[in-house]
Amino acid sequence: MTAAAVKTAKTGASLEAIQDHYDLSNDFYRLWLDEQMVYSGALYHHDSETLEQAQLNKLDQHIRAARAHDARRLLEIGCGWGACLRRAVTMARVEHAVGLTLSQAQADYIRRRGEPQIEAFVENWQDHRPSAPYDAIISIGAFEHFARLEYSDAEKVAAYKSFFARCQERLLRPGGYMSLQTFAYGSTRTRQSAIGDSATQFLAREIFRETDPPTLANIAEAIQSHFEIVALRNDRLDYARTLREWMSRLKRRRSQAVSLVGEEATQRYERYLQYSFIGFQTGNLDLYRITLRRLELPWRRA
Amino acid sequence: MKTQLSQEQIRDFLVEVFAKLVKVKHDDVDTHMAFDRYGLDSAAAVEFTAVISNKISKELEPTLLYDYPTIELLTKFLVQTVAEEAA
Repeated sequence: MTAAAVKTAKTGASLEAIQDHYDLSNDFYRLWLDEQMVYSGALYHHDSETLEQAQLNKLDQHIRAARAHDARRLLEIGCGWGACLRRAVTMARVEHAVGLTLSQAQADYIRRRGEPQIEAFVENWQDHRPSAPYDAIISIGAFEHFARLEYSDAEKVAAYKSFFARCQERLLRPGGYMSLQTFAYGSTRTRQSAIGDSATQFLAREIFRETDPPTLANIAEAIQSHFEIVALRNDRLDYARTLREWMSRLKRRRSQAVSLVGEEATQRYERYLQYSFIGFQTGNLDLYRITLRRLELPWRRA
Repeated sequence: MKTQLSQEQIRDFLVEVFAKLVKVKHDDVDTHMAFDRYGLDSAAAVEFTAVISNKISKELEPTLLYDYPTIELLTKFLVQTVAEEAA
């Protein structure tokens, strides 16, 4: 596929690949995630904080960074089981929070709760057509899925660029902010070297199909003429700590996990969590939290 | 059982397992050379750590081999760990 073709085609992981992972079993994920079921790296302010508190810290940080407090409409791209949408509505007085996910199980979970200010759609960001742009955008742990392992660097940048262009042109109001969280290849080695690693191959084959994380350079290139970076943090050690907690919880409830998804799937997840822990602890993987401001398009003004 | 493992026994055990894992001859393992120089990746590191954990009957961090990146450093750490466990 050429970079131009990537720009127009559906990019990144397919609906099927996403559902393979995230629709495995809500009850299984509940065993080892926090009570809000936040499935991404937390934000620790202190050594003594619980995972629950650190996940709330993370959600609050993104809501602040996206300037979503008191916003009329917030869009979350990759909304998981809805924790950030709920936090935005209940603690930041957001009037209407819309979440996009490709996981049917996650959307059903959110809809069953029947919260009137919250809506969830099983929809790709490329297909989402709101009646008006949103006041703020948050995206946590979705960007990783926007490109595939087999893409060249140019194809990856084209895929990311189409995302930022769409956010700029259709999804976010002028002057609006987006808070983006994604893990990425770290600075310890080249992408080629990382792809050759058997852990990367295992993750791409068994855990996150059709998915390949970005590099910081990919993101910096892709935002050009669409967004500017206002703030950037690499909290990889926070992700390592999150993974340590997930591993510990899964271990404590291992027999329940096996009852829910079987021995093989449980072992697969244990390996995945261990590899990821090593990745973040050693710097082979980074965790970026990036505040972005929409660039204006003066040449397009009437 | 744990206290009977001497420093030499632990080192020999590590060399033996590591040599098999990275497919080199036992005698070709340089105990001062970093594991990644032999092409040990994170998947093999997890496997190696699991074997060690099983041998000393103690849970170990998945990043063990990155924290102690040679046979010598790892041996010293494990000797101390086993001694503390026995104490």
